[in-house]
Amino acid sequence: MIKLTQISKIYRTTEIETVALENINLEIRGGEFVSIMGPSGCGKSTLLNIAGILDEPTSGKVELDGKDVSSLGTKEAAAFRNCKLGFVFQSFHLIPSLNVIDNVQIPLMYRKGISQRQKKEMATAMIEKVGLIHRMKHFPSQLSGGQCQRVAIARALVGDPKIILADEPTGNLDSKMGSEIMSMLHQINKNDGKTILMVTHNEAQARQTDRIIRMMDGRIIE
Amino acid sequence: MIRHIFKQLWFYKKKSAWLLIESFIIFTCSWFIINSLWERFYVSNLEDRGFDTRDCWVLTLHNGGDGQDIIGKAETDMINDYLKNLPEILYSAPADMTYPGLYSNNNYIIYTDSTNQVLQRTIDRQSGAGDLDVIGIKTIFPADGKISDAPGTVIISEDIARKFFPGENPVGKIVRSNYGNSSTYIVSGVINSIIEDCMSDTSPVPVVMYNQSNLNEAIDDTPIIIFRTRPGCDSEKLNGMITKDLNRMLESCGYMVEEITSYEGIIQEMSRMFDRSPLLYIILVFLIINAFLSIASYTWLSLETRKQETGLRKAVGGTSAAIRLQYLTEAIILCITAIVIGIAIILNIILILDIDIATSTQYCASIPETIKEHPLLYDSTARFIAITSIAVVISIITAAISSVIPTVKSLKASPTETLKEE
Repeated sequence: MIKLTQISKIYRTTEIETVALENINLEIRGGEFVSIMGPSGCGKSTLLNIAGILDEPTSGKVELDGKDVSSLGTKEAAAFRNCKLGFVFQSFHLIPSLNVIDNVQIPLMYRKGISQRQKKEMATAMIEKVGLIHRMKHFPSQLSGGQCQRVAIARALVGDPKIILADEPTGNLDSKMGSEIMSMLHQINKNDGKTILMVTHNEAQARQTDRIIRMMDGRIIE
Repeated sequence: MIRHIFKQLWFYKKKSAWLLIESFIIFTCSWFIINSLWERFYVSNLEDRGFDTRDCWVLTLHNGGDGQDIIGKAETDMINDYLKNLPEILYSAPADMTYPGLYSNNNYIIYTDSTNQVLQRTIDRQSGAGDLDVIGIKTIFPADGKISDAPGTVIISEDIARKFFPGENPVGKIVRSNYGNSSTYIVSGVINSIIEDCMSDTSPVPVVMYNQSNLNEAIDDTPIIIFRTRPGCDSEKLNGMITKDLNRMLESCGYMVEEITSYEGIIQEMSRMFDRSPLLYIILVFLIINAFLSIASYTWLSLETRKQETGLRKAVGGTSAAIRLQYLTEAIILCITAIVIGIAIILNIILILDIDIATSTQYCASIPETIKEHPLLYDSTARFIAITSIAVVISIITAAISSVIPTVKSLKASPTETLKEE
């Protein structure tokens, strides 16, 4: 489902050159729940961004769902992300001016061929799935951290993507809420068959996943 | 998307209010400035002004102080004959200062009976002058174009003919005017309606040309001869030669050529003297630049605070074009809201203060026929719609352009950069 071949990422400025990733080879099968761990600055988030076509590698090939996405143009990459990928961020990144249902519908705004009614139905279904139907008209400022992250998960799932990319989804949550979120992710993985690639600092949560990839200084060490 | 946009505008209402105020100011100020410039702009863009002053020159004579006090008809005939014999000259004629565009504000009343009267612009002309040919005025009646130049006759413009003699040939009919002592005049011809110049209070107007009653009287005031040269002739050389020859010929009566000026140049000079439009254009440009910078600054600041939103939209599949369209639509919606408020306020001002925005008919002598031909000048509704449309276009274009630049800039950042920021 996710295949990274000889991926390198080098940030060049006029003064210095920073190697964020070096010759990364990684393969994740469909339906797997994989976590990436490592110290700060080891390249975990960079790897996640490249896997999510949010960033381009300096060299190497990225294959998602059997398609080589390395050479996709900006528009094609955006369309691919919209259909095949879902993102969950540490800071939730909900739009404060929109309520829960409008936030969840955002990916559907950029998808053609769906009527307004259908979009609302799909969003409502996802909100119900994450257990926030009673908060549908609330704004992010009226929700707890855990609830915000659940909205973010609903937003990531609303377009029925095959791959979920989560960047420290429990990083800003207490342990109880973190456990709830992890439980939700596991449900999504087991019941819906979604492939999940998660960056985390939490060893306990990482052990609950199918596989742990450890990184150090831009390389996979385990 | 529209629903989302309205929700976001409401959420950011304090910032949106600023853009709304800017758009409102540019719209209302543009409206009033365009209204002030309207007549000049309208008239200067009319193709047919009813006369043609290309290659047309105005020769002004000057009393040297030593000779006769006034110049006689014999002298003007001599000048006219001299000019007509020059191969470079097509037509020439003596003319009074009141010819189209050469002077202004000579308005009187003509009426055909005690109940029908109209204010109109008068032009004095010397009978037998051939001046219609010189300045290319088209003759409608009589059909052969040969107007009788007898004293005590009048030539009326086409709109007066349609008003008082609808469907008829007015030649030979009588009109009565209170120019002088309620004299009656016989219509000797009908000419194309004339649009004199760009001065807003005198054009387009119904025109009556009165033929002077006494051909033998000398021309007082400043004697003027107008002539038309053949196209392509060296006018500077010709005018120099004419000046030299006429000064020699008029030496005995103490007159000399003061200047030979292009007819078009005089009209433009007269227009410029009363023209305040350059100042208004400057104000309008300044206003647009000011609004442009304000809206661009507001948009830039607003998008800076919404950087993460932009990054998120890109991450979930929004293309730069789609996101740009959303942000631009926000700006346009605010602009349109401001325009609607502006229109409501302007309408209220006009109605409450009972302002007639159409060209004043007090001095410009319009009659129903003239009004019908120029609805954008005289019809308040048509004029309001036209001016409002232009002001709307200016406002929307200003808002769109000043929003698009910061929007394009903000979309250049990659999602990873913008989503990193806390």
